[in-house]
Amino acid sequence: MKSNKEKICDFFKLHFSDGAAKGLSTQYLTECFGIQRTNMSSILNSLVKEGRIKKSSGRPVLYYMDKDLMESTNDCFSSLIGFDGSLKRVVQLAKAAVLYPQRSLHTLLIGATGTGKGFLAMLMHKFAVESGVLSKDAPLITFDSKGYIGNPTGAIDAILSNKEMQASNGCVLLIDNAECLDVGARSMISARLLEGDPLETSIQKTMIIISCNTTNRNAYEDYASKVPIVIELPLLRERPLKERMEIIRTFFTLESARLNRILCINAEVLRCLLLYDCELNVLQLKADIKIACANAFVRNYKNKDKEFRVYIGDFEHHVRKGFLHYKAFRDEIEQMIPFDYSYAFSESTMEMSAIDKDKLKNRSMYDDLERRIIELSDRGMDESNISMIISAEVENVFRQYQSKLTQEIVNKEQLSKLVDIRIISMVESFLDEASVKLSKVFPTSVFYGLCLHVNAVLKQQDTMNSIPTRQITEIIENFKAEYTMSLQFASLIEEEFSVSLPIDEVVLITMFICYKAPMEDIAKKPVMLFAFYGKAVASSYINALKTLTHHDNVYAYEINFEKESEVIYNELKNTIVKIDRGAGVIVVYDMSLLGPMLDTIEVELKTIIKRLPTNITSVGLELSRKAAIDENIDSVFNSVSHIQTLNNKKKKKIVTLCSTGEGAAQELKNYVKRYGDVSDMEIVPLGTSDTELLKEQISDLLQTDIIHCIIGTFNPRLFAIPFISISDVLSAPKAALPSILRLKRIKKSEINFDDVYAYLEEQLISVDISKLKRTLPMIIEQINARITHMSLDSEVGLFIHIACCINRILSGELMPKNLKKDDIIERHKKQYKELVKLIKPIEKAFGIILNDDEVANILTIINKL
Amino acid sequence: MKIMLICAGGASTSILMKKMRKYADEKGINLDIIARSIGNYDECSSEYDIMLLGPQVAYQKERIETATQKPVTVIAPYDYAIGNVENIFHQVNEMLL
Repeated sequence: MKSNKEKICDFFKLHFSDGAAKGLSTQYLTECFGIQRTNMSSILNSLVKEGRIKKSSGRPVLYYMDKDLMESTNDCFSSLIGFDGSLKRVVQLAKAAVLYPQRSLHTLLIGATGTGKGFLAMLMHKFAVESGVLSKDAPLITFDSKGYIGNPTGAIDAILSNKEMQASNGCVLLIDNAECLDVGARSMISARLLEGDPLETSIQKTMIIISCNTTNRNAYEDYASKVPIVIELPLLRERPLKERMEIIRTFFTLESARLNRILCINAEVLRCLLLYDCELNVLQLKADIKIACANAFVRNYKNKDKEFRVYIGDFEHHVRKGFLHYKAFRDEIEQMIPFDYSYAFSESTMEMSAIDKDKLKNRSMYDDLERRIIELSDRGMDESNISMIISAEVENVFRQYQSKLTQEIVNKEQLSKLVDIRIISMVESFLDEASVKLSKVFPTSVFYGLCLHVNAVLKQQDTMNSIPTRQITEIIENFKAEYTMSLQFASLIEEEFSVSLPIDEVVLITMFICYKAPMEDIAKKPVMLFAFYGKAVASSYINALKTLTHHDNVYAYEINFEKESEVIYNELKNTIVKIDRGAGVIVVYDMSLLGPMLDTIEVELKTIIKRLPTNITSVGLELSRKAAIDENIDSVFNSVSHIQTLNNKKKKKIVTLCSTGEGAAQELKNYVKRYGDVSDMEIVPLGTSDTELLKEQISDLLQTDIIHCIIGTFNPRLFAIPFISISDVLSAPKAALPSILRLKRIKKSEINFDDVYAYLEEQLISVDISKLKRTLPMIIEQINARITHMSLDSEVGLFIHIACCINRILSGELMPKNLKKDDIIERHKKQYKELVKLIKPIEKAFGIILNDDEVANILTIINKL
Repeated sequence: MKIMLICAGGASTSILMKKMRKYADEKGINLDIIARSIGNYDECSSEYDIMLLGPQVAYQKERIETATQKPVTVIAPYDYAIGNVENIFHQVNEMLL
């Protein structure tokens, strides 16, 4: 066993390891260790003498341990990848458990399969021996619970009768796969092992580590309540890529030692390994690397070379899918593993060596890509994956080219020294036009880049000329507008300089204007969203901002108060999804209604959203209204001074509204209060039918509060506040009222379509329901996706409507005419064309024709005309 | 009880109408029911006590309310989709009582 002195020293290490600044007093330490104060004092003094700790002057005397003193001491945990990163807390807890004074604490390790629970338990045992808590020959006894499924008493008996444990003077007992034990066995383990039954002498000196998979929540919660220390291991994908890289390196070096060969891989393999979905965490990573190395070894079996390569094809298919995540992590990956390097693992090290650069230089930048496409398809990658990888690569290469071009240019003056003035003005007007047509702001780097590029092309300096054909067609297809404009621009240049430009050049120009901000700008920085009330307010504002800052990180959302709040919610959510670059969105908004929406969106999307409400609109409203009735400028001005302070204390309110007078509104309020379970909200009765007056009253309320919804006889359609009709409130069963008031709607998933088909089958004698099942749901989906997103009401209604139409046509009934048919079709030409296409499968399946009257009816429903 | 069902073309409510009639016969309810489209409901709306809308024309509720000056309610989508006549009658009763 360790001496008290060593234990105290360890205690210091632990205490100061996480940067704690406060010193330890003799009194405190005496209490912790339960030894006499005089003994403690002399131990501390001798530690100070040895220079292992320091003491403060002044009273009470406090003791410290210096950082460098701590770090000089290596323990077995420092070999654990991530001990100072994602596993820092884990290591701290593990040490604390082992080093706890008197006796080590029982510990519960939880984590998904393959996160390293067993490995950690092994390290803890090692640490216990290393630090002298356990004697050198103290065993680590592993008990696998899997063998005792359905045998509750068997497990505990087997543990208690373990000979090795009984014989040892202190040991670590690892109960592995503890989630397999049933409730009975778990409670026995808790009672007889964890709570330290004094009768069980054999386990008095045993440190118990329970390893439990996160799959069985009940199990680990049972144990967690009984065990002083719970350590949770993170999933591999939650850990930083750097650590994953380290882990990969370790496994390769292990394999290298085992095979006694140097293993070489290229950057591509390394990237896949870093990115693929490792469901079974570290364990799977290890297994996958092992399999690949084994495959490579078989191939090179006869080859006596010291070195051999492991190709991506040697890995299981799911590893290769790592590519698919490449775009999302490009920056981080590029930094960690530069593309033009290859990696060699030997028994002890990893070496990175640059691929012969001279060879690369002489090649056009796209030669590589062509070669890689062939390589990839040779390995059986499917088309879509290849093109995804390649387009990521092309974009990458292009960006590098562009940033190389513009690195040295600082201003236009410098540019004019390098580039023909005609080019500058042509590019300028081209980009101006493009920015109007594509409603896009181009940063100056695009301008410089394009000028220099055109210049280089005309001087035939650069051989940027072989873009893979696949890429050309893809770009032309995806960016038709940009391509057309570039084509015009190219012909202007051809005319002006009497040259001819190949199609590759046009595509390159297209790539310039398909510009997305370069990586270093776009990567993981927060963006701002301005959500303002009124037409074009927000977009004008951000245009002004962009002109001033030239940064492309501000976005606009226009709040249209005629829209339903659900629509606003969805639009807002989609906007945030679109603009978020991974570092969160700051939303500046002027309507309090958005506050709770943003909260919900934040939870739903897990995007960081910071809210910055401004009250400019309410200040404006208030001022304008006051100024209309008051001639004293001071009193008008003072009328808004309170808004600022009230802004943060928003309360939720429900407005009950009756056009006939306040009495009815009051009654409605009482009803809602009684049955609606809305004690957290205040209910405000308003009785008026004058829209203007109402608008005023509501906006008054909005200044200090949030209006959750309006319940009333008519929908005033104000400020996009959700409306519930009085009949919905009164006709609903009382028990359902709370959920109606909380604006919960029936979800599509709650509709059982089997019942719907049964009903239709019973009613629609002429329709073959199986045909209907095949065609109709798909068409509804496509209308949702391609034409307009329908509410559930419309969707269900349309479903029944179309089914009935088919029935009518098939049974030869007379179809009613739609009198507004021509007008409707004329106004929704585009949708009409799309719709006619979409309904083809039905017409085909049933051998009918849905005439324009019917199509117009459908248009009426989906557009709510 | 006089009910007018309204939907886009009058087709989908007519199947519901049949089912409601059958139900009323079985339960001994005195029911006068008719199915109309949003294009031609107003000609005889005054003869009916209540207008029931198919969910696909829910957005027309207020317009119809103003035009007919009658109680108007939207049939719950799921009830409509499976022809849950019992619920629909329940809904009507709650509106009229």
